[in-house]
Amino acid sequence: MHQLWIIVIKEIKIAIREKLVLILASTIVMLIAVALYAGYLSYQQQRSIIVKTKAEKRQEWLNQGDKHPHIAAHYGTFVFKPKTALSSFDFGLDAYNGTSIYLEAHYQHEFMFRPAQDHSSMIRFGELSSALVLKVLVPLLIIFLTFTSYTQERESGTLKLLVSQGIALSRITWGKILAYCSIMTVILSPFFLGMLLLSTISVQQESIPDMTTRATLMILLYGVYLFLFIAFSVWVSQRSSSGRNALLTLLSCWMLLVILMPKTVANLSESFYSLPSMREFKATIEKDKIDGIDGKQPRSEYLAKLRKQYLEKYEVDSVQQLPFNYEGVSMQAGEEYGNTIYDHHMDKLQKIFESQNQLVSISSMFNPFLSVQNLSMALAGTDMYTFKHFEDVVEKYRRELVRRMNRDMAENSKYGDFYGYEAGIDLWQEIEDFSYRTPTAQEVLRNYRVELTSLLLWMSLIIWLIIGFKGNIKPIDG
Amino acid sequence: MDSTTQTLIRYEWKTFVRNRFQLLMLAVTFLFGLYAIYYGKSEINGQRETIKAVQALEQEEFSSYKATFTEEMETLEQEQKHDIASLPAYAWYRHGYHAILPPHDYAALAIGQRDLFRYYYRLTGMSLYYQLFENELANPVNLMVGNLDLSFVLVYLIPLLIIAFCYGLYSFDKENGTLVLLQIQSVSIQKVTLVRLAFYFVLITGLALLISIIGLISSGNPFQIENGAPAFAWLIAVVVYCVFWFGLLFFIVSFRQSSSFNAITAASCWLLLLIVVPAILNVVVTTKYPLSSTTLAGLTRRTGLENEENDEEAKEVILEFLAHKPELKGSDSLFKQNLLAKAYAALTSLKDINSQNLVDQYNAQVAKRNTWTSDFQWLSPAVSMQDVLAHIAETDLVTFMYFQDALAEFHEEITDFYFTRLFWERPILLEDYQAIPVFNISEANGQWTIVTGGLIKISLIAGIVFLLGFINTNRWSKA
Amino acid sequence: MLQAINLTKRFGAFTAVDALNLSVKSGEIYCLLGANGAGKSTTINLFLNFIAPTSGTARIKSMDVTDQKAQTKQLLSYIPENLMLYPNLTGWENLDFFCGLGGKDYSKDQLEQLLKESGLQPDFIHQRVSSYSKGMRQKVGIALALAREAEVLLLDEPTSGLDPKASNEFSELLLEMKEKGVATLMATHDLFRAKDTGTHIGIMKEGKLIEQFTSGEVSFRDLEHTYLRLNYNA
Repeated sequence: MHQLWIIVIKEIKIAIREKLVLILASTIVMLIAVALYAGYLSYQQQRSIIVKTKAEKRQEWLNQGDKHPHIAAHYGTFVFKPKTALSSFDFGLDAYNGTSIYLEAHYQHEFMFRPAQDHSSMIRFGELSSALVLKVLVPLLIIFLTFTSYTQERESGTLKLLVSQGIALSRITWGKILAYCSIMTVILSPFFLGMLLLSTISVQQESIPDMTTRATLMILLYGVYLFLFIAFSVWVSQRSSSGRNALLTLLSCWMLLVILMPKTVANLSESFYSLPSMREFKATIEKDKIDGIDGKQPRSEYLAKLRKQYLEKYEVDSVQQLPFNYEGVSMQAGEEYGNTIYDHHMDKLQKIFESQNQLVSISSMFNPFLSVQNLSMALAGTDMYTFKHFEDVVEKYRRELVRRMNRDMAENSKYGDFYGYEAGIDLWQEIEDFSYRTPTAQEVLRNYRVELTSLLLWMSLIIWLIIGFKGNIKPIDG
Repeated sequence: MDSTTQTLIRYEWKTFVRNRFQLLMLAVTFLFGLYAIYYGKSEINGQRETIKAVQALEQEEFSSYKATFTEEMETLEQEQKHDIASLPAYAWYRHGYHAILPPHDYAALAIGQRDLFRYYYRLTGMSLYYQLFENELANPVNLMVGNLDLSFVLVYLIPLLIIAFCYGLYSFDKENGTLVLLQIQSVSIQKVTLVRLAFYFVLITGLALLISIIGLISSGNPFQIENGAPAFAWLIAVVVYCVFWFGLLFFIVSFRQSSSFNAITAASCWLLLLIVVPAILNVVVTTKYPLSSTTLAGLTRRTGLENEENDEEAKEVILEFLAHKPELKGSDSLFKQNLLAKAYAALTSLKDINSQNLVDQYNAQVAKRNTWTSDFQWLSPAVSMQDVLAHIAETDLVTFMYFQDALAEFHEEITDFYFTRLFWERPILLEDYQAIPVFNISEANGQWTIVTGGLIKISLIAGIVFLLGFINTNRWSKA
Repeated sequence: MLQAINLTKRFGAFTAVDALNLSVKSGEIYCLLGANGAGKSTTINLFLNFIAPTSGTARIKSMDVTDQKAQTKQLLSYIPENLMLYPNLTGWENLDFFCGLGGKDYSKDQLEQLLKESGLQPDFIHQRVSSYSKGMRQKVGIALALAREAEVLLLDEPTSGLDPKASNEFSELLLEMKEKGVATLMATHDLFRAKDTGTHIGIMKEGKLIEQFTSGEVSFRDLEHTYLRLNYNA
């Protein structure tokens, strides 16, 4: 243990005497600070606008005056995607998911306004977030810090000296890894501290219920990721004949894992599973809303059947004789009919998205960067799954809203007298204001089993490489 | 070319050919280039197909309208169809016209924002803003990751090749110990370095040009009038961008540091120019000009008359609208026929008129962002290059903002066509179909100033780094 | 042929070469002896114009090496302690490359001949240098000197680390060069080799040339004695 300690201290001493490393490290710290500040600023900006507009829209809904419930259902309301505090850490898909949606009867709208649309094509280079710094830039810093860890000792002959002292090679390796880990911990500690602070204070009105768990997991995630990079770099340095080769190998790996592979995989997934155009998608839904899925049960037939059922059930001759306004019932039935059609097509669409994203998940087996990217977004609540969850909650809210309006219409208005009935604020108040809570981290992570497994496997692989390969090393080799 | 230069080139070639890793990198880049071209083409072809399908739908719609004028009316459905075709009160919100922004042939090479913006709209006489904000279906994950198109290969990968081939230009000789043998030659090390730099410049720029030419030819005929200038500009941009990176490497090498130092510095520069600078600019612009779509979301709300059976309300709305459009006034039957249709037409138009300001403000903010970012583009030639390529391929924000303006004009044409008939109680005749609004978007011309500006920016920076490198290497011979 | 006139080189406060005067005529092998840091390599580097003198001049064929860089470089060839070549090229190719840079044009056979003359085994001529031993690389260096038709040969401890046989072969080659009228200046630690091969011997200490004699004047034992006495007052 003592030996290990000595090595750790020696490595740290050498590393902090390297000017380049110091410059890069301070750059990284500065970038993280800028990223966090900017992320927090935009979180504040977006949140305050959303809170304000949300309140406005709510007032609009409540004060829409007396009108027929179905008109109110058409008048509808808006839902805005809440920005979460953790999103200031990892923007994830925020720039590419729509931010607002219009809820009305009969029609499911898509989310509108992807923030990236308000930018020039420069936005495609990505926005600076702490996640970007941690998963893209810090690994590069690690490479610069570690690529000479073994080669220098070998080139200058000190490795022979070390080994001749009777220290096991694996101990030297662990010493080095530990040293770099401590350096990285020191560099990143202000950031991790900030994360924890952020997650424990001032997030009462947050839509994320388990901020602390998420923040802790996030720290753990990046800890593992950076450890992987450190261990891998040291290992490569150990196996390389010269510092130059080690550097070239590591840079190539970085390039492949961080830049090339994510893009290629995403693009391939796009080619394998192609999406319909919005026009096509909408057109099929509209068509099926009249003819039924595969033309099996047209809307008119379905509604006629329903009408017959009601007449038989209440033993009357016409719908006018029913004790309630049948229009409300048929309206709701039509709504539900439409929903089934919509769900059918939406599921198909979601399957395509899932297949596309699954390809990325599977590729993460070969690339820990992809695992970390997905898991980080998941923990920040800016991933695909959380967005889908949000969409589902919104659609449920819309359906509930329409259902209540239709029920009120059935209960209170008369058949054929559309403008004769007006509901008021009492009914509007019955509809609760929309609020959203993300699923817990545990629930979200359930969708990322492959990514978690991948990290575990990579971890074992690296440890095995370092422990299992010790016999093969030739310290003498020049 | 003197014999020393020839010898240098000959042996640089030999060394290059014997380096498997370098050959592999070159081959991989080339393959990525081919894949990028293929991918871009398939993306854009997908869009072309959608456009075709959409156009076919429109064709079908309008020919079915026209047919009702000639065929015998037998069924109720046919009559309804004829009403839609001939009565403005039905037609104005049912007839849908497609406004399409066809992709430039070279959009396949630089997809830019084209996967993010709508490139086709179906417009009716209804409120423009009600129809404007729907998104195209897309997987946000893939949007975030971005497209592996040719512009990506050129902007991201070619510089890496340049770094990989040139970082050891001087330091390898120094570290290998061959430097002393070079130094006793009468030829200066500066010249040796420059000749080698030129060798790799020809090699890599040649590769970049080759891939570009393959892309340019396979995506469109570069000898066509509309493709000629873009193709030419594209190739110039490739050369200028390569010059910049070689200049930068020359500058780095001129400090005569170790090859590891050079590699680290060059990689850091790459990171700075391709990731850090744009990422910072993006986050700054987002917070400096905050934009929230929530302000616009309200425009998409479908609104109606409070009570469709209340004629007074309808009349009020119509009068309010006519104050904006006096030319529609004066019909004797203004309040007698089609009152509800007129009221809705008025209502939806009023909505546009009233929200015009809001939309303009929003767009102005977007434009401000765009100006701000282009003011800082000189910070990174890579960003300039991406911008130049996107403008050549007409896939940048400016093109889409221009498209939106054209959409607004087109929408006005549509409403004019139907509203004059609706308010003047004139039916739509078969011959009117000859004169229905047609969308056209005139050639955007602002792009060439941006392209030239961007190229000048990159050239200037390239010139500066090269000059600095040259000054530095001049000191070499002075020991 | 080679002439140092009051040649001085200071690195800050440290004087590496102090008012050195020496001359090497054509057909002479001048061996510079001295402890590490005595200024031998600096002297060689001054003649090579790798570094500029603080004062004084280094001349080759009466030309100042700092003024007439190109002309003087044409005349000389240099073999450092550890001659390095491009490992991915063969010995022949390395020779062809450096000759080409020097503007010398040889046929393939001529270059092969030169390499053979320099003692490189024929099998290795077209093998990559990465498979060469140090002695073989030094031989390519000699071939290069021959090819350049150098009139001046500057050697910086060329035989250190060579085995006795290789070292011996190297000395033979030097003698052949000498016969051709080449002026050689060689920094070395090898007293025996200096006495055996050199025509003249100079001993340096703290940048000064403190003793000079022709190798005929002294026996090996005397040389060793003098060397140790001068350097360590033994």
